[in-house]
Amino acid sequence: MSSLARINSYLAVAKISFRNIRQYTVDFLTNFAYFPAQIYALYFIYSIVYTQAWIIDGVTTIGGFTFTQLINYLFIVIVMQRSLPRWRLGTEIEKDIDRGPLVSYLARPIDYAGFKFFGEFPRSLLFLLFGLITYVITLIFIPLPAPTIGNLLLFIPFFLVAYMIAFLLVFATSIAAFKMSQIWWVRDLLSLAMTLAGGGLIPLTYFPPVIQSILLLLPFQYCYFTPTIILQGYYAVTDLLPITLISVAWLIILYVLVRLLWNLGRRGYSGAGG
Amino acid sequence: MARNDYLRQLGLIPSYLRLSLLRLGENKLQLWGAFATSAFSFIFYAIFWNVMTLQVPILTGVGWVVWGVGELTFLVGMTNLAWSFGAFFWMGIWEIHWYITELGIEEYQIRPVNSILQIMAQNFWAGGIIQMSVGIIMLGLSIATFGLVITPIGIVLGLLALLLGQAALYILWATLASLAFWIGRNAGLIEISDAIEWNFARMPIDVMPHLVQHFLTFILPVIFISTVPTMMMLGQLPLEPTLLYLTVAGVLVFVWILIFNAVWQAGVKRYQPVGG
Repeated sequence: MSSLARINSYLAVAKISFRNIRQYTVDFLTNFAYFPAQIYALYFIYSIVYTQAWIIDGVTTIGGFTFTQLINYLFIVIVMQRSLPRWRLGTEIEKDIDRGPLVSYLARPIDYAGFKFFGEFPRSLLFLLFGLITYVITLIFIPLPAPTIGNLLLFIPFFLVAYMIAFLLVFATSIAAFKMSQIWWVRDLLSLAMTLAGGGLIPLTYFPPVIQSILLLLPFQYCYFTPTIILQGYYAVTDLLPITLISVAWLIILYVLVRLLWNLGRRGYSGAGG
Repeated sequence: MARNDYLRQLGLIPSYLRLSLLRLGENKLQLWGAFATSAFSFIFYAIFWNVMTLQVPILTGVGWVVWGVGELTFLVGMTNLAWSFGAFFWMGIWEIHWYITELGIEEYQIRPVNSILQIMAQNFWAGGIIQMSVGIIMLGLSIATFGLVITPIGIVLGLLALLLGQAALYILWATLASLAFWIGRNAGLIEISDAIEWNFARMPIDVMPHLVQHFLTFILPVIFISTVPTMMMLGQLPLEPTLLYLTVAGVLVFVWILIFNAVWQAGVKRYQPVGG
């Protein structure tokens, strides 16, 4: 299969995936009420924390964030969490491996990981788009610091890197289905790790310095924390090069790991029935 | 349905539980998985509250309890315990809309056992026992570490509030899921209310504004998942609000059973099986 034909088939997968999303418009749109649910729970708790920190110590900034900046951070981080691949993709891959549909993919002249990668991407983009629209609407009512056009443009490549890292993490853990059945708990663990170590609930700067330095070494921060901070414009330009290099290094490491695990898993895999 | 019929059907529950235990025994790795996720989830939120209380030592609001790191850690353990009950008994509720839209409910309707009971029983998950034991260990650890005091009467009242509140919440979800008879697949609708529960259950709701508290008590009774049981077990809730909360939880269960029954019956009348 030529490269052009291969690219065309991946684009076709993306198109089909987009059409499937539209079939469930109501279901899809109701997902957006998810943002307020998450943001309000954290809003109330953080507002108490900031109010008491101000009353007790006269402090208005915690972990480098004022209250408004923090709410802004949480909003974007939640949009990222909803947009990037997580639980649902992992379930799909597990079902494909465990119940047999993988066999039909393997028979096609298309890479299974590529198929899933391009199949998931339109969904991620739409969630990001709707999330950002919700965010812009919120900016009309709540005076949060809006991102600049420059930061928005800078955010795009980091979103792509975040998508790839999240995809590889989910894919790597889902491959466990070759060896085990019922791997929901592996997905749960990954999801918790991504949220906590990725800054999905608390900005990483809130943690004590020792924990912070460990968390900053892991790939999870490139999923949520880094793109969010970049969109908010909290990085110096000089920080961007090391961040880019380390995130690309993680991409390569995870890609190699996924390929190794995939080849290991496929060894001895066979589908039965029809 | 005659009273004897109800009793006979409820008598099937232990058999379904036995089946679930047998299924679980086939995959022991899942037991460890359940243990690991429960423990990690507890550690996750314990870290969250520890980081929060590094900034301010206590959270106070409009409620009765002063939430320090001990009370907050206990609250997280209570959430684990509550969700273990949910995982054990109520998992099938999440599947109702799936059965209505894709799997079909006709095979359940022709059997002489209540359809909802069958769907729930098929999804009983004995792994909840593991989560339950993790929850209990976590509660014990937070008591031992932070010197909290719990009373036997507090435990009984707290568990009662938890079970009633959880029943109300799940029957509400079953009602939402049953709307699939009219609007098709509606995972999003359930996901919204689940998101509210998931995000608020691990927070001390009594420190939040009154409007939020009322919403999470009367509309979506998340307050009974962890906040109220924690306050009751730690003996920090006066008698009057204790009785009031228990009454509210009981009334909510009753009301939601009535609503669910009406929605389900109407839905079944309009249901058209598909496929063959």
